[in-house]
Amino acid sequence: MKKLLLMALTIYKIIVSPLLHQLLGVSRGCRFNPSCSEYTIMMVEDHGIVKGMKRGLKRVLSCSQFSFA
Amino acid sequence: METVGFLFDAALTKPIVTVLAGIYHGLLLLHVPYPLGFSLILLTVVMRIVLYPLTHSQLKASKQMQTVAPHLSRLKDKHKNDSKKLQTETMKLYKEHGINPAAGCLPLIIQLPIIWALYDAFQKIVNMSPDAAMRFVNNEVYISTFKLTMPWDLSFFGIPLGLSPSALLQTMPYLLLIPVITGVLQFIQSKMMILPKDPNEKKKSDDFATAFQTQSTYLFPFMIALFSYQLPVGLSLYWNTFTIFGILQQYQLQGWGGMKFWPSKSLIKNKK
Repeated sequence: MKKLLLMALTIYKIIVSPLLHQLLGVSRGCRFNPSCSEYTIMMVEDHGIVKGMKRGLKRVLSCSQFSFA
Repeated sequence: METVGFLFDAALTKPIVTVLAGIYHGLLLLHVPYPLGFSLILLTVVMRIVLYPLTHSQLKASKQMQTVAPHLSRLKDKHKNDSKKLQTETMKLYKEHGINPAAGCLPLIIQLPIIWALYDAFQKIVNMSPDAAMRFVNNEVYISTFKLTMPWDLSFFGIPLGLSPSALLQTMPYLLLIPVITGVLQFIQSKMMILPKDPNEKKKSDDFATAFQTQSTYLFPFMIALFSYQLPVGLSLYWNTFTIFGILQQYQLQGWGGMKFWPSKSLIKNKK
């Protein structure tokens, strides 16, 4: 399960995300370093699915002026 | 899921169809030839103008982030094991370079459903017979004066908007130009986004992700060109108008970017 999730996140990071950049015509979308997807992958690896995804989601939501987290 | 579909329809599809019908009526009134094709183009331009501030802030932020990218990778190496420290150092770096961290990815995310809704509405419209399209439009428009009284003509300079270049290969082989143009425009756009690399910077280890990223400059335009070969001509009209506007906006912000150096660089390579 964890492996599957990590695979999905990696696919997003290296295929979906660049494709979105191509479609929208921007070279970089994420302002974080490491990027949200990299961070989520790290968190899921270290802390498991539930905690990792929770932290990743929190990270995505803390982006933008409408900080939710 | 149904409520999402309903909301999408009410908030995006219906307004899009309403504006499209409005533009179509205007063009009919002005006796513009091939009003449907020009309506698709005009609506895309209108959408791009509406999205202009969002795209502009996104492009600007993206450009700034590219200039600090080398610093970022240095920070990443330095604070490999301390993600908290890395975060604060990154924010400090942004502050130094005047990058607004509040810009975030939201402007990007907001654009996606709009782009998708345009695509969805256009593909429905061009895939229907003119009679069915008339019923669909009259059912969707918010302003009843925009209702169609006569089915429209799906041809644009003699090219049927509802058919793909692949379906028309036998009768109109010159339409192969459409995927070629689409691919070239995509390539120009992605090439423009890449700023010339600092030659002093050491070449970084080529892991799969970075290799893929360099390849994607060529791969994605090719992929999108393949799509446009299979998709109705009307959709290519939409997508290429969208891309041209994007290229212009990018040009306005930072000139030709990576595109400027590309021909000269490949010439040097060939000489060697």
